This record gives sequence, structure tokens and C-alpha cells, in this order.
Amino acid sequence: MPDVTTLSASDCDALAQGLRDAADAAKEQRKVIDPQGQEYFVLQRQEDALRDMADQYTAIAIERDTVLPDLSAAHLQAAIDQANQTLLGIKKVKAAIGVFAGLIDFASAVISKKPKAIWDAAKVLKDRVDAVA
Amino acid sequence: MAAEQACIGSGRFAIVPRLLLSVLLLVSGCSVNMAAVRTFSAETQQLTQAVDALVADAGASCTRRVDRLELIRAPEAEVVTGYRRTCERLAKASDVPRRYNTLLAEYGKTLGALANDQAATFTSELAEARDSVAALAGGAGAGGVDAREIEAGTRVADLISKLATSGVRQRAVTEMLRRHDDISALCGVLKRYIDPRYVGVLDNEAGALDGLGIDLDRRYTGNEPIRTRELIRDYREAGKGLEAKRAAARKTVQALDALVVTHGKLADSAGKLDREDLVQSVRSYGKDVRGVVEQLRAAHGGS
Repeated sequence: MPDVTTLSASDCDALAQGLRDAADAAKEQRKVIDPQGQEYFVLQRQEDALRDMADQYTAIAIERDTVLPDLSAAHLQAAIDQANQTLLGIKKVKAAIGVFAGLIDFASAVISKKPKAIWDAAKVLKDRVDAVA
Repeated sequence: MAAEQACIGSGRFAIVPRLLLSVLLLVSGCSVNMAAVRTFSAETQQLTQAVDALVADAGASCTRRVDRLELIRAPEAEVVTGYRRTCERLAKASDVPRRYNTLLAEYGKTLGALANDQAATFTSELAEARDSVAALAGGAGAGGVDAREIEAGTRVADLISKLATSGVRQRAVTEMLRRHDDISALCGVLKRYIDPRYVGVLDNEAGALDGLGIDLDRRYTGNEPIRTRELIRDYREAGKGLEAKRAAARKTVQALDALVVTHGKLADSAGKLDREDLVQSVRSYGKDVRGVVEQLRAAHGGS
């Protein structure tokens, strides 16, 4: 894992782009239907959090300082809980569980504040969301 | 005696025309046709006004995004507060490119003043921009600019300061044009800021707008059809405005490239600034700048 202090402005640009891609994927996949035909907005809250993080990394790219975004753990936990509750209704949908696993990986990476891990997790999440689509 | 006086007199008359000729040569040397430099100065000042509008819009774009999601999705207050902090951070981070843009604007203004044979002035805006850029030297890599770019910024400000205090006029144009590498460095900072960063923030706003439009249609059409239709219409217009802003940003980067190329040509022709091809080159740069201004006008009509 790279030391966060070595993050360059272009690393932050790439990270911001990855987060925007993940947010777009989340947006497109929001409409998930469970076996009972109920619609869920699965990743809605994640989309907003991802967009917020994308703008934070853009700000860091501009500043190119060494401070990671001050992500509120409570804010993330609320997002995960929301996704968890929503996904409980569709846990039989295998691909959706993959998205959930990706979300957990992503959140873990964010909490650990390791940019490379966040980047990798964002890509995995995007792939899984794409797979559901 | 008379012959001697005539000889002295003719010597005196011989000196006077020489002196007159020298003065004429000096004066004509100072009054080179500076039309190309004057036009370059005016276009550069116009371009920096456009860049100012883009720099101010990065934090505003983030705020618009959060305002909309707060209205439609109504997340918890503390979540919204966190999102708004990000917007403030973006706006604050944009202060560095804004200072660089001020330096470029002041450079253009000073160049124009000198080309018009007026004295350079050292403004408080320039003093603030200089201090702000110089302060970046304290933190390695701070502000997204490197040491070379920090030096370029302070050198440009110091040159204008020197010209303002020395009171030199048109003949200092050449000295300014010699700072081509510094001007190129200032434009590099601005280009990097506009694309990918400002454009990325606009992309984020546009992506969120699409998602909110889908939500509105799906969740509120049944209960509040009129208000929903109004909002969907507003979001479509905002989406068009964002596309126009992205186009304006791309054109601004092109115009900054044209600025560097044109400045390079002026710098290379410092002794022959009245060349016709220079005037043509500056006109072409002016066309790029007008493209930016028109695109920005279209953007602000759309969002």
C-alpha cells in the first residue's frame, strides 16, 4: 500500500474519476427488483457519498496536500446500514449480494483510509454493479 | 576672423542636425506599432475574466448538487453538513488557481499599459496574489503547483512591481515579453485546474442530476405531478447549462494554449512587433477568446 503522503495530484485525479464512475454505476443500478416484484433504490445513498468523495479528492488534487478527506465513520455506517436493510429483502439475488460485498470492501477501504485500497474497491464495486445491470 | 566664425558656425550647424537625427531615431525606435501587443493584452484580460468565472463555479457546482439532493432525497442534516463542507473545501482550494489567474490578468493589463506608453501600476490585487503564491513555497507541493510554478508567479509579480516603481514605459514591453516561460507556467497551472478538475466537478453534478431526475419521475409523479414536472424541466435546463459549461471549459483550455503560442511569437519578435503575421496570430488568438466568451454566455443562459 502506498504511503498516503506520497499521493500525487494525478493520483487524486484518478481516484476522483474512479469514484465518479462508481457513483454513475450506482445511479444506473438503483432500480433493483426483488423476487416479490418490489423495487429498491439499492445504492442511492452510496451514490451521494461516492459523489461527495469524488469532489473531496478533486479538492485534494487541487490542494495536493497530504490530508485525506475527513470521512465521517457515522455517515458511512448509516449508508452501509441503509444498504444492508434494503438488501435484506433481496438477499436471494446473488448478484446483488456481490454488490453488497463490494460495498463492504469499499467502506472498509475508506475507513482504513488507504487510497490504493479505496481505488481498488471502487473498481471492484463498479464491476459488480455492472454485472448486475 | 570671419572665415573662422563661419567655420565654427558650420560646425555647430553640423552638430544640430546630427542631434536631431539621433532624437528622431530614438523616438521612432520607441514608437513601434504596438497594435499586436495591445490586442494581445485586451484579449488576455478578457480571457482571464472567463477563467475567473470558471474558478468561482467549482465550489458553486458542488453546492448546486448538494442543494438538489437535499431537496429530493432529504438525507440527515449531519450528512448534508458534511457534503457542504466538501463544497467549501473545493471553493477554498480554488483560491490558488484564482491567484494565478490574477497574476496573468495583471500581466496582460501591464503589457497593454506599456504598449500604450503608459506607466505600469502595482495593484493591491497583484500584491495579494504575489504574497499568496509566494506563501506556497513554504509547503512542498502545496496548492497543486511545483517550485518552478511558484517561482514563475513571483517573478511575474516582481517584474510588474519593478516596472511600476521605475516608471519605464513602452520600451519595457520587450522585457516583459522575455518572461515567456513564466507566462507558460502560469497558463499550465490554470489548464490543469480547468481540466480535469473543474470539468470533473461538473461531470459529478451532471451525473447526480440524471439520477435525481429518475428519482423524481419514479417517486413523486403520482403525488405531486405539477411540481415534479416543473423540477424535471428545470433539471433538463440545468443539464443543458452544464454541457455548455463543459464546452466553455474545453474552449478555455484551447484559448490558454493559443495564449502561450501567441505570446511565444511576440517574444520571438520583440524587435519587430509590427510584423503583419504577428497581427494575424493575435487576431486568431482573439477568435479563440471570443469563442470562450460566447460559450460562457450560452452556459449562463442555460443554468
